[in-house]
Amino acid sequence: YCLNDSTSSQISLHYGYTINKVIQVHDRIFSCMAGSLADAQAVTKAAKFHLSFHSVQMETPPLVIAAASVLKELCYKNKDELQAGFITAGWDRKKGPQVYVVSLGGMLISQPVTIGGSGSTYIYGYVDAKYKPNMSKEECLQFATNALALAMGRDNVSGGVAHLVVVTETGVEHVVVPGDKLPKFHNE
Amino acid sequence: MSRGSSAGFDRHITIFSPEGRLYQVEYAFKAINQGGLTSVAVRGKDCAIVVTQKKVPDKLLDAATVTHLFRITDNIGCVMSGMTADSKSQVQRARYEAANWQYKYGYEIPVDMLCKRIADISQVYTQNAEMRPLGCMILIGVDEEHGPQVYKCDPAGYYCGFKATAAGVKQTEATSFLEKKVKKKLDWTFDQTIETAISCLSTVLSIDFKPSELEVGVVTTQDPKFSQSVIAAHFECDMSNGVFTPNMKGAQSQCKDAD
Repeated sequence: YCLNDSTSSQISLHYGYTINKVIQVHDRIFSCMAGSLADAQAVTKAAKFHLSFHSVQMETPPLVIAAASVLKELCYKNKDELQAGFITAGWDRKKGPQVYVVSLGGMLISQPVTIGGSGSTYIYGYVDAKYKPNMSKEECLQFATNALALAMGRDNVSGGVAHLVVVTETGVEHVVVPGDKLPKFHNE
Repeated sequence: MSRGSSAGFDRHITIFSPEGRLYQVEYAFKAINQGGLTSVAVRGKDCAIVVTQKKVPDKLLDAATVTHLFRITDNIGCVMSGMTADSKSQVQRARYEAANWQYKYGYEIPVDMLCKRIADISQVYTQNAEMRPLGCMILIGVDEEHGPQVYKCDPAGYYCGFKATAAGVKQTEATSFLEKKVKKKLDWTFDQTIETAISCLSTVLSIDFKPSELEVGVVTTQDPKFSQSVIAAHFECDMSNGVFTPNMKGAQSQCKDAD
């Protein structure tokens, strides 16, 4: 599942054995898939197509809300057939780092931090308590890694490798943390 | 020769004349000169350049919004010759075709395939009575396997890859100029390619260009992204009168001195 927080940098985490569920939909915009992966993949591919066309026409990189809206349109218009949700996070020139959530039925909402997936239920408390706005990149990474480690520790269907993506104005950084290198807590 | 009867529509829609000509397609070629511009594209050893005139006829026009260079994908760009509105429509279609290819097949469309697609669409317009043929498109891009490419497709639906080509009003003169240059040397460096393209336009149109009067699109193997080159560096060669003076042999060393 995904955890995002919007501050000066943007972190998007995902893990699931070796499947990378964090997809790059544009240069500075990433999307985490949830739900039926086949549906999510199909929707993401269609969204990439729409976004690239939009971006070429506008002659400028797309806004994060544009990416999220494209996903929302696809999810909402096809809600009868699809079972896919997304967390879209990225950076654009207008509003800087942002996080949007598109739920299963196609609701689009902007949030400073969001979590999703089966293990997310175990870390709502941690996220609510430990999140503070305007964290630095290192604090964000630590916060996200801790949250993931806690969730992985408790959720029996989550595990494997943690994928983190840091999106900033200047570029994109991928951080991959194998399960055994994640921080350990008292519950283990 | 005995003339077959024609109902007189052969000039109005794209059906054959008794001599086997498609008048509408021929008129479409004439229409390319309506814009009054000439464009030149040259392929170097590791780059492809496209240069076109930038004419802003009205003082009130915002020059930044007047352009005939368009980006089709990140790595493919084009220059359109012909009526501007038709050009925009073709560019839009090209963008859609490229995006659709990426979506369907999962990788970026190669330059020659895109040109082929546009050419095939143009050919349909030469058969359908309800559509008229559109303008001429020169595409540049760097192909993964074949390096930098220049492709041109015309209103007849014919397309071809070129070492160097021209389109527009002074197409014939520009093409002969380029033929002479290509005969002498083929694997130009980036600087030499730009020199060739700009000097071709300069010579053929007898204009000493200022930077604001030209649009240059560039793709290189080092940086395959289609970019509109700021060719100020090349104009620094002769900043004394603020005008670019093409000089194939000397310009390169002059540019280095200017740096």
